[in-house]
Amino acid sequence: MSDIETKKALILGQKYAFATISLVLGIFSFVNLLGLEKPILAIVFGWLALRAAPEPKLNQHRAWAKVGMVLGGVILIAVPTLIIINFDRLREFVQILSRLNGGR
Amino acid sequence: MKEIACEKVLMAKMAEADGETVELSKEDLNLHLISCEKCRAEITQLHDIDTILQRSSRAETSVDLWLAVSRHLEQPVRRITWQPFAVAVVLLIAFKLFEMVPEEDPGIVIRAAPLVIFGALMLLLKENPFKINSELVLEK
Repeated sequence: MSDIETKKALILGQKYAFATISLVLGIFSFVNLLGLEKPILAIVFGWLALRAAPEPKLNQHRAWAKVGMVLGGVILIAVPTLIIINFDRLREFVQILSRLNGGR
Repeated sequence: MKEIACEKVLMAKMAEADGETVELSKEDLNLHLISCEKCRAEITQLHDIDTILQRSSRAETSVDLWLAVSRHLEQPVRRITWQPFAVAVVLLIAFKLFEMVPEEDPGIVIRAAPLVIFGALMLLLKENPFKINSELVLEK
């Protein structure tokens, strides 16, 4: 493969990734899992980026994927923890909101 | 001198075996071989090697790979059409509108509808967005 073709393949690979992420995030915008769908996706995409197989292994931007996974992990742990800790208060809050929203 | 002569004789015998024209006459060759034990041994050894090589044959495989390869080559390039995406968009918008109706509580099953639509779209496109595709080809 010539240098130009290699460059083209690299650019196309990145565009392919952007297209995939755009579609996945677009559809997941309709999903509401207490906002946890975003950290789940961050962890999944980070894990895909850090995987050794198939070769070649990612060397540059490895930190990006790691930071993305850590941030996603923080939210994935923090939100359920806060919900569990403040469960009673949140239930009251939801009930008040339901009354304000016409019983829903 | 004898070494050179031996080499010439051996070369001539090899050429003879290959059906090529030989510089030395048959009589000269035979005379040398009668007197030179080393050349006789060498020629016998060469004959033995030749016999072994002639006995062996190239392994032939019975597996015909061409059929599988040609089928792959003849496969038309799969064009991704816009229809599945349009259906997914319509369904997702319908879901969102239904979710916004204040009197309706969608429930957990309906809430998972976007994920189902996503799964169905991927099934239809025969793609897995969470898998690294190692068989991608450069677009023309």
